[in-house]
Amino acid sequence: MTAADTSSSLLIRIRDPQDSTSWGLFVDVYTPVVYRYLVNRGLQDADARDLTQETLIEVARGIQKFEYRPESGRFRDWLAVVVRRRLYRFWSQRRAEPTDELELQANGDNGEWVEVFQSELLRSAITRVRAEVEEKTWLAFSMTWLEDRPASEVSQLLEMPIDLVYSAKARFLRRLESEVRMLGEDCGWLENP
Amino acid sequence: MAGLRTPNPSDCPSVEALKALLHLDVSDPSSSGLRLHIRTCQTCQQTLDELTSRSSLGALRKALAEVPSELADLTKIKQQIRQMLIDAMPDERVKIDSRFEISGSTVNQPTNSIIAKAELANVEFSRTERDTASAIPSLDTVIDALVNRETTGELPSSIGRFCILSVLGSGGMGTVFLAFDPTVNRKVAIKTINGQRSELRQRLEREAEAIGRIDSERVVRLFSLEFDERGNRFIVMEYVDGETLSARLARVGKLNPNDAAAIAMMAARGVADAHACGVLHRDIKPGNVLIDQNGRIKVADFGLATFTELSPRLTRQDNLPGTAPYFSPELVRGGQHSVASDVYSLGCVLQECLTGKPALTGTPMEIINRLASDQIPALDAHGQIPRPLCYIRDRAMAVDPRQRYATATELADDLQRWLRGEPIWAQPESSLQQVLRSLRRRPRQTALVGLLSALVAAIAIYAAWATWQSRSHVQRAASAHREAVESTAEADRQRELALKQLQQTVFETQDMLKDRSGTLELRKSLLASAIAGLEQVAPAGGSPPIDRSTALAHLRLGQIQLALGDVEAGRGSLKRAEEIMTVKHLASEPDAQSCRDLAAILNSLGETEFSQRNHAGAQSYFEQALELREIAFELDPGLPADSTAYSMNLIRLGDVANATGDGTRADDYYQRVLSELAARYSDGFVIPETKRNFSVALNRLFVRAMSRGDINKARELIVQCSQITAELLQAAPHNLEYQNDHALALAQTARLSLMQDDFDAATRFANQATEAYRAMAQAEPESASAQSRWAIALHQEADAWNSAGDSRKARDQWAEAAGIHDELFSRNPSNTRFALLGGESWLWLGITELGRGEIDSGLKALDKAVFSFKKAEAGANNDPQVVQPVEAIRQLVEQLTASAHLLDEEIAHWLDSDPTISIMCGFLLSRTDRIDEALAVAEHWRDFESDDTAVMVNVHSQRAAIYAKALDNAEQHLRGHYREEAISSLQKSLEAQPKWLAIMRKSPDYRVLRSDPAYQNLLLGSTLR
Repeated sequence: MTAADTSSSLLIRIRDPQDSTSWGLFVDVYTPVVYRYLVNRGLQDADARDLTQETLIEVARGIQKFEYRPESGRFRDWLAVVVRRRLYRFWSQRRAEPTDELELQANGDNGEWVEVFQSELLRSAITRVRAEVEEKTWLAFSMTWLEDRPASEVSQLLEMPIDLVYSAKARFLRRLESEVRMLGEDCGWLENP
Repeated sequence: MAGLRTPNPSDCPSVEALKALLHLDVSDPSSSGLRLHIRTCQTCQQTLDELTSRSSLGALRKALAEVPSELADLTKIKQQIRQMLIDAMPDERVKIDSRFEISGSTVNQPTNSIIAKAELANVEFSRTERDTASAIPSLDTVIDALVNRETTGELPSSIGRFCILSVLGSGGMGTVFLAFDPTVNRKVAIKTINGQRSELRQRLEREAEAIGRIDSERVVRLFSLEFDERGNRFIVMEYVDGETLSARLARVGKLNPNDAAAIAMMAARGVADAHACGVLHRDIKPGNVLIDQNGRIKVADFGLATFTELSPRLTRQDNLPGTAPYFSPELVRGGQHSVASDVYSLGCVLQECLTGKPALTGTPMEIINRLASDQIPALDAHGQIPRPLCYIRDRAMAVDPRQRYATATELADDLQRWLRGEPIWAQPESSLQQVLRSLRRRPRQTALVGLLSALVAAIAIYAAWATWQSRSHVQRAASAHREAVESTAEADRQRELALKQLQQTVFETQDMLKDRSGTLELRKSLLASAIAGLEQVAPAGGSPPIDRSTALAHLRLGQIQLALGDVEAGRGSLKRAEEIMTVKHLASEPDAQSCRDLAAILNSLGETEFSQRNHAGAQSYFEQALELREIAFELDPGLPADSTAYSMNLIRLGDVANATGDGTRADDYYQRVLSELAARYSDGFVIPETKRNFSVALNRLFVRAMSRGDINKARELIVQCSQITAELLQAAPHNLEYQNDHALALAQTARLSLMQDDFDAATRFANQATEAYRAMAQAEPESASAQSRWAIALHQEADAWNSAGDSRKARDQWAEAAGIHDELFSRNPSNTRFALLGGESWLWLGITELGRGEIDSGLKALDKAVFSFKKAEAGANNDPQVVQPVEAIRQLVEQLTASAHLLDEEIAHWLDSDPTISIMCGFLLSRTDRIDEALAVAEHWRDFESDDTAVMVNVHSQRAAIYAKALDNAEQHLRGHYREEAISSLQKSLEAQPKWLAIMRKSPDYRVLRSDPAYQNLLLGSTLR
């Protein structure tokens, strides 16, 4: 596997310790995921940053060591395990908050985790695809899809024929889907969000 | 909206057309009409709204909308993480390689938020996660472990009655503590599990059962399986004060070959002990091999062990137990873990000890992929690692489990052999094995039906031999092989490949059978069919590879024909091989291989000529071969087999020199073998074949020393030689060559003992030699040379018995030996050597019989001796080396016969006739208790003198024998006279022919004189001279 092979899944590519491009991308994409989750769990910025850092390093090692295996479970779930363990340890060291064991159960806060995971991944994907396309295409997409405005309105605002608005939206979405897949796919979490 | 038309469904494009439009480039002209329509058609716009909202990402949109941008600027932390990862990555590989050892870390003690410590904890955590062999830590497992981590969050002061001293290692599954058992006052290791989940509990119980079963010094011992106050289980085990092998390797890098072999051997013995108790370890790796303070090895961590008596289904749940770099290939392919898999892992451990690195490196996925495609890299030693250890490693780590050592004990034994400097069992993978392996790996490439069936047939031949099935079975297989050869020819486009494979198949089969007994005829028919096949396949004009195959096939056929005793056919085959190979050799630039091939052929031709006593021819062939060997050396140095062939060539040149009477030159050649081999193998690593040549050269020098009468030197040489032959034979008890060498050494030790009058040793060694040769001859009934060697051994044993005074035993053995050679000669009338050897046995039988007074049977034997010698003379083509001795012996026999016939006549009639015949009559008279008449004859020839040395020796030795015989029953007053006469006659014999000393020493006739000081002086004087 080489760095050039950018269409295959990022999570597969980073198993090659020499593929620094992929590792950089991995850090870009998953740092916000972990950070935001930790902040949502009530951590201060500085603590969240420390824990994010620790978590990512651990994940990097874990992937190298094959502790994560896509055929047996989702990366998303495994990442959750690592993050929660960090969080738990953080709390137990601080002894600041009572430890609620239930919170650590498999699905205690899974809804929130999934949401954070997916939305942060999506945000990264959008940022990356946006850099590839013309400003008008981006605007047509963001207005119609992110802001959910009618196509006819966008057409008028951007002075762009409505068929081209549709085309721009469709094209951006297609790229976005493949980008999200590339960034986060291990065994098809997209199909079962 | 302005400009929008009333929808007219018939004008609107289909949904598919709209979908297609979304995928088209905006500038695509084919879509312009459609685009214009859309701009004005509300229906189509609605459809497109719907189409563009269908995205798997739709559900995420809302979540994103709520937090529209990143919460904070994470650029800095991203950079930090990246840098840390980059810094960590190269180390990472090292850690992967030597990871997962139990270190004395203080994982469970509360830590500060120092990343490094936290990382360590996680490494530990991950380790056991992986060790449980659950695919990925399921949330349950992890949470469970986390929850339980709380309970062990601080070091407990005690568990049960045990005082906890420290943590030896810890992970998600559990923790290993160093504890103190106050009841018996010793340190123990305690293994706990986190929580009481059934999976972990079972694992703990299994480990307890496994090590509880094993009774071995080399496996960590179980003391007990106990419960703490809360009902949690834990194991109490032997505490090993030392380090793990992986820690040792991390500390010192690689080990020296001796330590590596010793540690791997002890680990293999430990694993073998486990196997013997029905336990498969399944996770053998340096991290599970403990080295205590005294350097003793203990195998630990039987957490993944299983029991051989369990049916596979019961242990099936563990898909891939163990650790990636030590997985065996069969496991990755879905096979069951077996003894062979543990042997494989031991091979990995050996390699890691030797190189400091695991056999397979990379990510586990890469390792598994490589294993799944059978890519186990060969141990690239760069000469750093002794070859034999490489072979041992290769055998232990063979892809095919059946190619590995069958047991861990075999592996340990081979390592031990190497450590003791003995030859090992493991040998490099043969090309047949490689072919078979590649065929298994690439089944599609075997579409070549001919090739495949050729292989199948070859295997069938081997199998038929191996199971000792009927000869017809073998022939069927051979004919299938021939058909395969023919059909291979039809596979035109793959002809070259097919030929190469066929050649390998045939030759490998030959090699497999070579060292097996009773396969000569089988091998001959296999080769004949191969030659027929090769010659049929060869295109007009021939191509080099086919020439080589054909030539080599002729060579081997010739060798087999010679072994079967058919000299003419053998010589023909060899000449044909030489012809083909010389043309090839001259046609192209000389390369090492063709030099070797031609040298091998010339060498065999030399052997043939030598066996026929054509010494000039033999010498010329051997010299040419030697020259080619030297060229091959220059072109491609360092091939051990070359040294073997080269040194053998020198030996044979020495033999030729010796046979032509040039003993000094022979000695030079033999000495050259010793010094060249010693120089080449100063490091002590010698392949068995080369080592054998040492022994052969020593043996030849022994023979030379014997012929010089240098008994002390001879003894020294034969002792050295016997040591080597015994070592070789012990390492490879079924190797015919080594059997033969050792038998020869025994026979020669017997000869030496005989010369030193140690009859007890002489008969004992001679008997051992005969038994060894008999076994070989019986194992190979078609081999004429094996039969002949047996007969020669019998002949020599008879000699020993005769000298020791047991002429009855000697007579029986000479008769048996003579019978064998007669039979051989009748089957191979062109081989005069058989006739000669048979005649010799008959001669001695006759002499002994006459000596025992058995005139009739003695004469009969002498008759047969004359018959045999005449045959030998007739076939010898006037070779003086044969004719002269034969002539002399024949005369002697005729004289003896004539003498025996004269006995019934009056002495006066023949007393003055031919002195030889006359004195022999006297000798025979003394044997038939007509001692007075015999003495009269002896008195008559008292002052006999002759210029003919032979006659002189004959008369005086017989005269001495008559007096010696008379001495046996003589009255006291006559004894002095008889003794004097005997000694003076012996002295005359020796003066005439000093070589006669050897016969004199052996002859039983003078036994009565042996204690006589005059006789001893005589011997001493002659020996010194």
